[in-house]
Amino acid sequence: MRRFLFSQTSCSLLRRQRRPKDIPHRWFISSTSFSTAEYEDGDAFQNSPSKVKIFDRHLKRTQRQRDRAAWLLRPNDSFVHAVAENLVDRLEDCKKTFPTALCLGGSLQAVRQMLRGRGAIQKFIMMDTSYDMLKLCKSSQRDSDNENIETSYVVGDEEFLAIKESSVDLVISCLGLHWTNDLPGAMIQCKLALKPDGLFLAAILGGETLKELRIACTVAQMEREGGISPRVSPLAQVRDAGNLLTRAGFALPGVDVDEYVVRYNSALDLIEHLRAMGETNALLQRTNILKRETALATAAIYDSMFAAEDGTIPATFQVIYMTGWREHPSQQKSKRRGSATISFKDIQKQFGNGS
Amino acid sequence: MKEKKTISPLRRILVNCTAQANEYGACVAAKVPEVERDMCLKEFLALKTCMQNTLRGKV
Repeated sequence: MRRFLFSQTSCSLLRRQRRPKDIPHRWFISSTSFSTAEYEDGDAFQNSPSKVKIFDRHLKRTQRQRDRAAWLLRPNDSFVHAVAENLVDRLEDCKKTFPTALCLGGSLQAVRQMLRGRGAIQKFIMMDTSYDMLKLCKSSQRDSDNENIETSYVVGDEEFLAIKESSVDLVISCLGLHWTNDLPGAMIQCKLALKPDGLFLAAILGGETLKELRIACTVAQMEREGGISPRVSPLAQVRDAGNLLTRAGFALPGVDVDEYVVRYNSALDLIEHLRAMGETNALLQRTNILKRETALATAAIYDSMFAAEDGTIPATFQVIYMTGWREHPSQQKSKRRGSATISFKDIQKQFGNGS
Repeated sequence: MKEKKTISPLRRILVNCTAQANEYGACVAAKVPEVERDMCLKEFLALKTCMQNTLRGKV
């Protein structure tokens, strides 16, 4: 099925029906169905599984979102590359090698480009909900220099991971998980897919992201229409990231934050960039209508409130990097209570008091 | 892929009507914490006429 720019809508309908058969299970068979309903982990307060729907995942996948991003994707997007580089850099901090790796949605190509042999990855599985994105990755595989890595492509949903339990050494997700409806569930499934002593690396956008855009949108809508509707999706806070990792059951969790301020010539450039990255609005609650006046007002307000002297506007992207390991006996654990052999008093005597 | 980069109407409007946009933006930015509906209506109407002129002029 060849897909071109102009035959968008008909193709998306076709694909919607074909979806269940579309997932090529060439390498892995799912042993159980990983529905998040089964993994409440004795959470006494929740009797029903959390099926909160915040994002329209279908919209995310279709033409207007990830697929469109697949055609608009710039091969040298500096922001996405910076994030991917930062994420993949963490592989160098580990002595362990990761023969099998799974890359979940977001910026797949950037991760692969930045990989350059780090982590000694031999088998690479790329997964995305959008078929077009994978086709793009596949076609650009010939240009990349990672020829000795065996790559396979899976069309799948991060919330229903079709990967056999304990089968991958490394799960990377670069800017993909902030669109999942059930982030804890998705992370739990990632953990299950990992082998013991496997690493989970994720970069998601944090709560401070695009705060200027959020403010400009709200103010413009209040002034023009008298009410507000959500335009920027809810994003995880840094303090929640640690909780997410422990809730998913990862050992040795680590979280750090990076803020990137990207400058654009105008608000329209920002929106185009977001479209190219596939990060445009997919909230279920969104109003589909954006009146031209409101858009104009937003652009004007963004400019006046946040413009720098040279006329460019900044946009903040807060990226939260999360790392977690699947449990393994070789990892250090906190000691049992009461097993201390030296008291603080002894240490104080050794090093002198008062300092 | 688009060979010819078509400039979207919104971009053309913003390019043509920079002065009005700046005035409108300044008006809103000055009153930011207390934003009410149509509080900068005059400036916005000026911007809107400029927008309509741009669209009519080119189309």
